[in-house]
Amino acid sequence: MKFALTEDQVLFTEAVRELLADQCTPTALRATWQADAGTISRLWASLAEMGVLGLLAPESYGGMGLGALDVHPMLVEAGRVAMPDPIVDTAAVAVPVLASCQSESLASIIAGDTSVAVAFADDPVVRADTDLLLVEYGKRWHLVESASLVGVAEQSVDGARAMASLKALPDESSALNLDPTIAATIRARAIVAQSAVLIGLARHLLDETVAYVQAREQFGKPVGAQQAIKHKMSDTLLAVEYAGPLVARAAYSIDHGDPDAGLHASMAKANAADAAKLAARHALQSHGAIAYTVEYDLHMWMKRVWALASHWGTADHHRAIVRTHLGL
Amino acid sequence: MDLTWSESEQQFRSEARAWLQANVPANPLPSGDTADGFRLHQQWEKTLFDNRYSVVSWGEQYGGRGASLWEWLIFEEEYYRAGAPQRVSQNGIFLLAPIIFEYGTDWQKQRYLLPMAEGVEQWGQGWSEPDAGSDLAGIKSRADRVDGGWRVTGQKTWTTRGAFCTHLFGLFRTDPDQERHRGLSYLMMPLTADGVTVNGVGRLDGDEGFAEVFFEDVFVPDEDVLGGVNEGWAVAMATTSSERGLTLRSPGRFIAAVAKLRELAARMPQAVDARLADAITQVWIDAEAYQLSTLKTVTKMLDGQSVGAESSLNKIFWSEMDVRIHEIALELLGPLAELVDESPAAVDAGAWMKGFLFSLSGPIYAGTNEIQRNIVAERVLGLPRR
Ligand SMILES: Cc1cc2nc3c(=O)[nH]c(=O)nc-3n(C[C@H](O)[C@H](O)[C@H](O)COP(=O)(O)OP(=O)(O)OC[C@H]3O[C@@H](n4cnc5c(N)ncnc54)[C@H](O)[C@@H]3O)c2cc1C
Repeated sequence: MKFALTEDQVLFTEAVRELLADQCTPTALRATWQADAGTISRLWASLAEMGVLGLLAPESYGGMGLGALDVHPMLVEAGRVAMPDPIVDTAAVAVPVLASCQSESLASIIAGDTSVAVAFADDPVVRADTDLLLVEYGKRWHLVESASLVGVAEQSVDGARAMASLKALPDESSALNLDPTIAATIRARAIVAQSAVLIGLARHLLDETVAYVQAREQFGKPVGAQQAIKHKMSDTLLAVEYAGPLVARAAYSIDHGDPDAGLHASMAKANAADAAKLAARHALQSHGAIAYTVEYDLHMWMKRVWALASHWGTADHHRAIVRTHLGL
Repeated sequence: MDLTWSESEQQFRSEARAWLQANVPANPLPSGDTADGFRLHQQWEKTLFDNRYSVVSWGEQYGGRGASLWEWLIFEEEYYRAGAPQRVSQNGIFLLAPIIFEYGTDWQKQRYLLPMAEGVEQWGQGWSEPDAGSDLAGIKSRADRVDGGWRVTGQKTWTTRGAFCTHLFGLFRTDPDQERHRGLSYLMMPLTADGVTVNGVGRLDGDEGFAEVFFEDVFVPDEDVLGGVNEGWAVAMATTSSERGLTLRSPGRFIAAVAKLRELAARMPQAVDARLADAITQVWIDAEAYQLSTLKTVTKMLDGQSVGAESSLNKIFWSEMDVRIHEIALELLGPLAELVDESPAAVDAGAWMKGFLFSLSGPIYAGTNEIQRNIVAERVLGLPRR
């Protein structure tokens, strides 16, 4: 028994964190709000170069042959900087799935030349700014050019998310020949990866708020010396701390072919989404009006939380999955 | 990360499970917070001891098995899974013993640990006083220097099971010229000593689980000072993290509680509406989160890292989860929830209401949750104290 990341996992994650701090700055993030696509120009290539995009591909494809557990702390970091690029869809979901069926697209995905978004059959809107869509339809998974399916653009509250509804559905010819055991993990992979991002978003919201309430003074002392504010910060940390281990466990379950991986993923999302929403709520309230403006950066993190908390199932939806399992 | 148990750990688990299955009393014992119930629990502690299950993590010379922290967690999980009796020895074995192991003299170890493990000597924790609750440093009970020891005068209160305990450990002011957390010492004494008066006090559930303890010139010899003279505060604080964290409330307890709640829901499906089903699911998820988080903490501890103020998070989490578990149960029971004390129509002999009343004390004892939230904000997150 050992519930901790290895030294390698920690070191690799630190390297990713540095890269993100350097390239995924609030200014760069803000710029994606003005663009059509939620991508930061050099960043994707840098991640490819570092091996992050191919982390879950076998070494024979130039990947690293690692798993969901290895990538999840990096996704926490991606959440911390509210990275807009489709790293969850591409690196954590599409790569291991496409590797399992020896897809021809894999090499260019790992190289950073092709990006992929994932769409489940019940998604009313999909990410529209990637080259390919890995899309579920008619109980099968298809890999298609995004342009052939993506229809009219939809505006997300999160300006860095380029969303759209589908104008067409994939046909049989694009269906992948997936091993059912792999297909069965897709939802869990997506949800665990997204939950890791939510944890990162929550951590950033907490860190920023803790820093702000120490600097901001009213009544002759930092507002962070007031217990009403302190307790909001403690409650946020509490929620985040008791969501994180569920996310790590679910990632581990995916890597070990645990039949309960889907259940574990739903537990992770339920607590991660609730923790991130609480972090956003407490961050805004503890900042006051300054956070209630788009001039201040924090809104980009809060809006990402509100988007991701409901995408691929709300906390309630995921609790309902667990609830069915419990026979309730 | 490795979430599997080794073969020897699995072996340890199945032995503990088999033993508990064969030995846990078929009918729940009466409350250990009553005089009769306490005696029966003390006998149970002896049974545990005779089979070296009372203090599994202690060394063999003290009646333990030298079990690892992992094995201790496994034992706890099996213990609560088996529905075994409450541990009336808890304040001794989990709160005092770690201090004796860390700060005690050889004489103190030889004298006190074995009878504690055996359940023959039962310890009460004498920290709180009428004027020193959350503000523990406001302790007034004092110990004056005399030849060969100390003379203690003052009062402790809220001493758990004080009316049934044989001994008391606690904080006393040994230097009247120093204030607050300076000048305090950790003393141990038998409650039968001359000058000690113990008055039982009924708790919220009516059981005599509390006591007030009065001291009038009670002699405590030097050999019963634990840790250095005037170093009581540091000694006390060194072990609060184990109290708030792991040892007081291991995850096995809550895993068992949510399993029981799920059974209760299965027995009364007509009471389970969508909201209650969702609430049960959430506490189920939280119990798992608590268990996983404990695995993370134990990994850290075994790696030599300190846990410290983070244990305050733990304490808030388990105590509030425990309240929620019982609140949900009462809602499931509806009009039957109020029935207690083996009232004929009571479900599970009224155990859920009793458990609810007890759960409400969790956010108060071991440092209130308001205080824990302050600690998290100030010492984990670094917010200003004032
Ligand atoms: C079931 C049970 C068993 C116990 N067993 C023992 C025992 O065996 N031995 C022992 O020594 N003690 C024991 N206690 C006592 C326990 O440690 C105290 O109750 C606790 O420390 C709180 O002190 P108090 O009750 O005096 O409340 P107070 O300190 O008077 O607090 C009253 C309220 O004010 C709040 N408050 C106080 N200060 C602050 C602050 N700075 N910021 C925000 N809020 C604040 C508290 O959170 C609480 O809500 C037990 C208590 C219970 C309920």
